[in-house]
Amino acid sequence: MIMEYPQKKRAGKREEMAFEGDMMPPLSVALIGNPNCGKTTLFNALTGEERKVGNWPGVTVDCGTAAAYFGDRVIEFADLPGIYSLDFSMSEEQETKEWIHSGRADVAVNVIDASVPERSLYLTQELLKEKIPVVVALNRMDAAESAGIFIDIKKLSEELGNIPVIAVWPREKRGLGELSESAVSVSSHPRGKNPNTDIEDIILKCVTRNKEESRREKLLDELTLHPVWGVLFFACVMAIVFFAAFGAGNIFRGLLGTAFSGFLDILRSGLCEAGVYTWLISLLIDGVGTGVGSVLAFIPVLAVLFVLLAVLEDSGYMSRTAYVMNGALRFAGLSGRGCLPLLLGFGCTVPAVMAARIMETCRARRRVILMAPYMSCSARLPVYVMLAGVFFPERSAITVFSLYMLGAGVAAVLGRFSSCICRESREDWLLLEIPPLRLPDIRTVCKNVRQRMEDYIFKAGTVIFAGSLLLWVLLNFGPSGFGAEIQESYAAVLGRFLSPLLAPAGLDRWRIAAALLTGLAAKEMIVSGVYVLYGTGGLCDSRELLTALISDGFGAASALSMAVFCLLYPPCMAAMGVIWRETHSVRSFFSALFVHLAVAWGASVLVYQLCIRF
Amino acid sequence: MTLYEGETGKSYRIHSIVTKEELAARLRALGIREHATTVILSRRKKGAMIISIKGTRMALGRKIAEGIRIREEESDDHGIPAKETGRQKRRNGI
Repeated sequence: MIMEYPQKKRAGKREEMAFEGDMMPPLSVALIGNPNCGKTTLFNALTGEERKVGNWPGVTVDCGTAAAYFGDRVIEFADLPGIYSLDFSMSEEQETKEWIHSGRADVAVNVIDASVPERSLYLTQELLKEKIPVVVALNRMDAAESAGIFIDIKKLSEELGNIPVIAVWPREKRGLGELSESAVSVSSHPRGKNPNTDIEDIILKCVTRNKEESRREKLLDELTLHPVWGVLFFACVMAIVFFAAFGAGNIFRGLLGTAFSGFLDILRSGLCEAGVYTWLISLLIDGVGTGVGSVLAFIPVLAVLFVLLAVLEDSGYMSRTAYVMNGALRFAGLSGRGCLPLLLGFGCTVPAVMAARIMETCRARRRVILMAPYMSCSARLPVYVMLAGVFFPERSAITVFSLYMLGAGVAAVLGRFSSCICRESREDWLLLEIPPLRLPDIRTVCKNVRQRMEDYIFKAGTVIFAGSLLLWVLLNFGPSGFGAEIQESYAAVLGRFLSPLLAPAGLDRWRIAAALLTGLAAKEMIVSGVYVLYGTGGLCDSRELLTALISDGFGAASALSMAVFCLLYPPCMAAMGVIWRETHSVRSFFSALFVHLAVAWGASVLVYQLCIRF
Repeated sequence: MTLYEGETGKSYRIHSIVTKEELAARLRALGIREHATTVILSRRKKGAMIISIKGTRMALGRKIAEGIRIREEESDDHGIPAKETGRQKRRNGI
């Protein structure tokens, strides 16, 4: 039989696929294994899907399904969160247990990391006690071989009661057809009778080791896990990520911004010559063009940030940060595990809130959800870059860096405050596997970066586009109808209504209030809002924007206060939606909203008042 | 003695796991079981530690390490003290 890859068929079409012609009903196959054993990589290879992968335990926190054809049979694969044992489970593991116990899956493919066979076989033994037919997929054979571990596949199959044991290489798409064939065959003829239950004995019979740990690996381990050097190494890594994204990305941003505003100028003169309506030109160029363009100009900054985050995720360093930061996070009432979702928060708050599922307790999870939005996400970076570039061009890098630190500091204080309210003991219950360091896989990094960039560009084309349109309408329509003076527009009315509230923070300009309001849709909107509201066409001309802002009475103290407000006020709608979904609680949602608003207002007032006094 | 009291670089054999049943089951699933040999790779003062067990590295918090009772590995037939054996084992990546 021939297995065709990739075959993208969404699980939602399962019903109609099942009854096409004389097809047999779809076979439901669950991929189950320890965290970080490569289930999602295998799932992506089997189905042609593009679920996120990474080299740390807990990347997958929800179940994903997709179907593929095997000959004329439809197989629906389910990628489940990693699990160590079926006896007990943490929040993200519950779903995996349900799949096995409720009979939703017809066959379980037990994915085993061949480089750590001892630990993986514990789950295999448990699965063999269940009623479900089992196939073992031996993954990471190359990693095992380079670590000097060799597994006798035939012997292992015998020891496990003659169940199929298939070696797979998902990246090279090898062994996949054989795996599917075995899954189909065991579904009708279950095997696994009288398996050997002594794991030590199985290992003794089937596994040979003949290599010492390399000197380089040992040195890297000692450096990254050392009590002192490990922390310094972490600080260096974070500094490199930040300054590379800021420095290198910013150079290209200037070039892209200049090119884009040049393009808009040509478009404007072209449209004028063609005799297009003035209002349409204003809508296209001043509304949509400037709005979307100002967001797209930040692509280089974010590309550098995304590449570095992807490299960190795939190298296996993320878990080490959990250990290194364990002591610091205990201050906030969390174990080191909290470091993983919080670091993701520097990319985007949405995955960070989702990743909070890896926390041990419900309370810790809620605390991470409360703290994650304070990890300044990549969408806020353009706002800081814009403000710092205009008001503190000499010290822009250090200004932006301080804002990141302030966000992390506020998160830590809030975590501590929440753990004090809950009267939790700050005992250290960290339990986390540390995967070996490896060179990041270039394809995984590229895929990861591509997905994040696509999300960003998609957002520019949808949310930012719609936001820019709305803003244009609010700016050009007023109580007196279309063509109203900008001071009489709806945006001005709305901004004036809000600005007294922001007066103690030095943000009592209706334009700024309106821009901050649009930031609730997406943080990048603040940048496009400021450019559109202050009517500066040159997307990267700091001087032009500075003149416009100064003439509006908006000085350096207000800029700093605005940056702090933008850092701390509620995250975008997408993030708030995920917080709602993940907490399942109206109280948590509204208390998070209230905390964000109160903290942002308080901090920006403090910053502004300090700045104007000293 | 407990794992928390162990020294960096030394090899120990796990004697028993004295903690909440659910956590003990989790530790066993992770390979931290009675009679298994483990080496302490790194530790932070009054804090978490990294151990090597069954070919993997695990980060353990203090509270968990305190629930794992261990015995020092006996010195081998050549009379090399246990400390040396521990380092040797660590070098071999066990």
